[in-house]
Formats: sequence, C-alpha cells, structure tokens
Amino acid sequence: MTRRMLLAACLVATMTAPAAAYLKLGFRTGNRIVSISWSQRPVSYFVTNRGDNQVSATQFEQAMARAFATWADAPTIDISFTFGGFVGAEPFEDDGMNVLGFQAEPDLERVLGATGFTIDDVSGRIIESDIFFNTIFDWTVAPNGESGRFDLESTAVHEIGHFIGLGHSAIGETELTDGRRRVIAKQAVMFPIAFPTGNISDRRLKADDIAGASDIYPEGNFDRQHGSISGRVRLDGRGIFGAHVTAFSLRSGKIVGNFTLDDEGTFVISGLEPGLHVVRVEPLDDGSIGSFFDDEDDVEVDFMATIAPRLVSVPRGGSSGNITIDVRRK
Amino acid sequence: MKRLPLAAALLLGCTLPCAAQARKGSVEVAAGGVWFSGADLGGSTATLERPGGGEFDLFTTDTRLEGAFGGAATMSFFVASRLAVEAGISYARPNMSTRVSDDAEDAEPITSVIGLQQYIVEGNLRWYLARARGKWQPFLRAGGGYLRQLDDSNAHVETGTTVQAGLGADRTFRERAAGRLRRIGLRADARVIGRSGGFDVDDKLRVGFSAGAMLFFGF
Repeated sequence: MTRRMLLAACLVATMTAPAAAYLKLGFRTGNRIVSISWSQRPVSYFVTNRGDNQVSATQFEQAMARAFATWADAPTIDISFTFGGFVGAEPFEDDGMNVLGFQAEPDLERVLGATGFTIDDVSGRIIESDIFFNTIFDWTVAPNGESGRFDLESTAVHEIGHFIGLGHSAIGETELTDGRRRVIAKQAVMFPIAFPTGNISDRRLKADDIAGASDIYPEGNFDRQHGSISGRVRLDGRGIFGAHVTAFSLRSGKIVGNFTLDDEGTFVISGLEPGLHVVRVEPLDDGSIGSFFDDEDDVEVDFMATIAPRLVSVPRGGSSGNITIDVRRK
Repeated sequence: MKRLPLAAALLLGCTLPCAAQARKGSVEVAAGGVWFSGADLGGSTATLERPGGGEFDLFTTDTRLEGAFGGAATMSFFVASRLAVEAGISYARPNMSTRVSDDAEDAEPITSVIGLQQYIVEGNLRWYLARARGKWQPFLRAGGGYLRQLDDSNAHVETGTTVQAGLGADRTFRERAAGRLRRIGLRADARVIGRSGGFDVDDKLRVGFSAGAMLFFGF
C-alpha cells in the first residue's frame, strides 16, 4: 500500500508537514514511528525541460547536480544519485519518476520550494519523490550568489535533505519583525527558514545535517565510530513532547539536535562524535511548530531554556545511557 | 660481647648513601595516597552562523578537570646503588566540570559535571642524590605513563599518555641487613605531570602537579 505525503520546506514560512518526525521524516503506525528512506542506490532523478526566471534548464540541472553531490560526497553518508535526463513531466505528478523543476505556486507566497513523496506505508520505503521550486521568487545560479535573488543550489540542498528523508532542524534563532519571522542565525541547512537573498552558505552541510543523513544512510563503520545520547525531558515531573534538545561537543564545537518525540519526553540524538557534550533543552519557539510536527497542540513550549546539570559522555559505537533533564516553566 | 655495640655504632655512623649501597639488587614495594591537581582545559563557544557570515553566540563554556585524591602503588628494583627502576599504578576519581553561561535564551548559568575514573600506569627512574638531608634521602624521579579515563558509567574510555618528573625524599624508619623485610619507610614526592589525551576538549598537552606519600617496604 502506498500513500502520498507532501512536505514543504524553506523560507519565511512553511506548509504543514503531515507526518514529520524530526530528525528523520516518518509516520506513526500503531505505537511505532516508521522512518522513510530510499532502499535502492543510486536514486535516479529527472529535471523538467524548461527553465524559468533567468535560469535555463541546463543551469537548473547543473545546480541540482551540485546539490545532490553535496549530500552524496559527505564521507559518512551512504547515498548516491544519478541524473536520468530532462523530461516534460512536472513535479508532483504520480508518474513513477523523481522530478525536480520550477513551478509557479502563488498561493504558497512564503514557500521557496517543497518536496513530496509516495511511500510504502508499511516499510517506509520511498517510492517516488518530487521537488518544486516556486517561480514567484527570483532565483540565481551565480557562483557567488546574487543580491535580490535566492540561491537555487542552497535551496536545492535543503530540499534534497527532505528528498532523502530528513525533517526540519531547529538549530537556529529567529526574530519576529513586522509579523514575519526572520532568521538571525542558524547552524543547519535543514532549518526551515532560509537565509535572505544573496546568501549561499546553505550550499555547505552542517554537523546536524550530516548527523541526520548519516543516521539514515550510514557509511561503512559510521555506527561504530559515532554514538548517541538518549534521555528524557520533564516539566513538573512529567515528560513533555516537542522539546528541542541539542548536544554541543566540547571537543569539536559541533551542534546536533533532536526533539522529544513522545509524551514520556524521551529523545535520542544520534550520529554524535565520541566525547563530552553539553546538553541543552529549549522550547520550539524559532519557527512555525507546524513545520516540525503535525500535532502542534501537543508541543510544549512553556518552559525555560535549560542546560543539563550533567556533562554527557558519548561512547564510540554506543549510547550515553539515559539522562533526565528537568525544566522549569517560564 | 663487644660485637654488638660495634655493629650498632657502624649502623648509626653509616651515612644514607651507605644504606643505599645496600639496596642494589633489592626490590621495593610502596603504597599510599596521591593528589592530582586540577587543570583548566579552556573555553569554547557554541555558535550559529549569521546570514552575513559572522557568528551568533548561543552560549559559552569553560571547562576544568578538577583536582582529586587517589591511591598509588609502585614496585621498584634497584639496578644500582642509587638508581631504581619503578613501575606504578595510580587511581583517582576526578570530576570534569564545564561552566555554561551567557545563554542566548537566558538559560540559567550552570556548572555541568561528570565524574571520571582515572588510571595511570607508569614507568619511572628514581635516582637518589648522593647527600642526605638529615634523615631524608632525596631523589629525582622521572618517567612516562599510560593514561586511561572512564566516565562514571564506564561506557566511554579515553586514553592518553603522560610524562612526569619531580623530586622527593625517603625516610627509612627501620632497616636491617638480614631477613626478608629489610626496610620500612616513608616516601614523599611532588611531580609535574604532562598529560596528552584522556577526556579533554582538544589535543593540547596539559600540565599539572601531583604530590604523594607512600609507605615503602624493601626486600
């Protein structure tokens, strides 16, 4: 049995994610969450045979190829892609092809791009995935970016993160100005809000992106060389859902995050370098909750950012053991 | 009848280097307590990337390995009258603490702590100076070691190496020329220890101090 999921990403606001379970996209079936992923390698993709908005079809394809390579070339991620050719098909058609292309979606006035899936809803295997880039925005493929235009490659790197099964990351800080949420800073390509026009820094994956993708597609001995932190976040003695938990490596300075994903407040942060980490919990208040979770009402945000009183040691190839972090109401 | 007083006179009149000469070829074991100083391991900042390329500070950290008392044991073999080859092991349970402050979302400053178990297996040379200081016989001690640290859940091990050098002194309480147990005494020493590896925030060489006191038994 298959079903279609639509997952949006990027820019100032996002569409809802019907079944997004950070760090990996997934869906709940019974009492378990099934993560989605590709089972075959390489994953083939096609590009629409028309350009738009000062970007030719060839330039579009080249930008997509660079963005796919960014993920495929990460040494700890075991995924590969192949370009199948230019096609007349459009993204989000149920045609058995993974199609990437421009589309005009004026109703999605704050969405730069989106990724959709057809999945096997038993195994979580991705059967088809398409990506569109919204032509209501101005795009560029200039090597150093271009003022006033969004960098196509940067947005593609983000969308391809969804394409391979990653959800959104919350490693970023935002502020509300004139009713719109603006990103102050972030440390994950998979943060749901894009940098402004002219910026190309999302062409590079960050530690959180690599940890997430490596967790889904571990290369070689990744699992033996990395570890995880697991635990529980409590408010007033009870577990809370949707708390954002990050691990900061004292040795490398890398930040990797995840969320508490059930009412017990349990979380697991995988793909961490061995060594000591500072663990920090904060409410999900730097983006639309809907861009992370379906069930927005269940997400607890009324608590103070909190540092765990215990340094956490991540073993190579193992788990830290469960830690408990108690947070206080604001 | 006159032999005993003469023997006693010889013993009392014997200088400590003379006693040391009797040590050549002997074995000595020692056990006692040791204190390891703490060490500042430095600070780091959790940062995010700003759109313009600058850094946004999420919080800052300052990490320290705390001082700790522990136990130590050594076994020595005197290869020369004033030179001993020594193998030893020490055990201590220092804490590592990280002060986390300046949080961008006003998380309360806190000191996060983890307990460690620390083993150092070491080899040293101990060279006794020719001249005694009163009843104390001073020595120089230097060597290298293997550091093994475990977190308090024993889930994660970090290893490293040490180099150490220092000085100390022995005071012999009882010494006799015959019998299985030849000597009993007290040894005190202080050392500078260079440590590389173990639980740390980078790969720098860390320099600290240790001081110890042990009872030794010569055979």
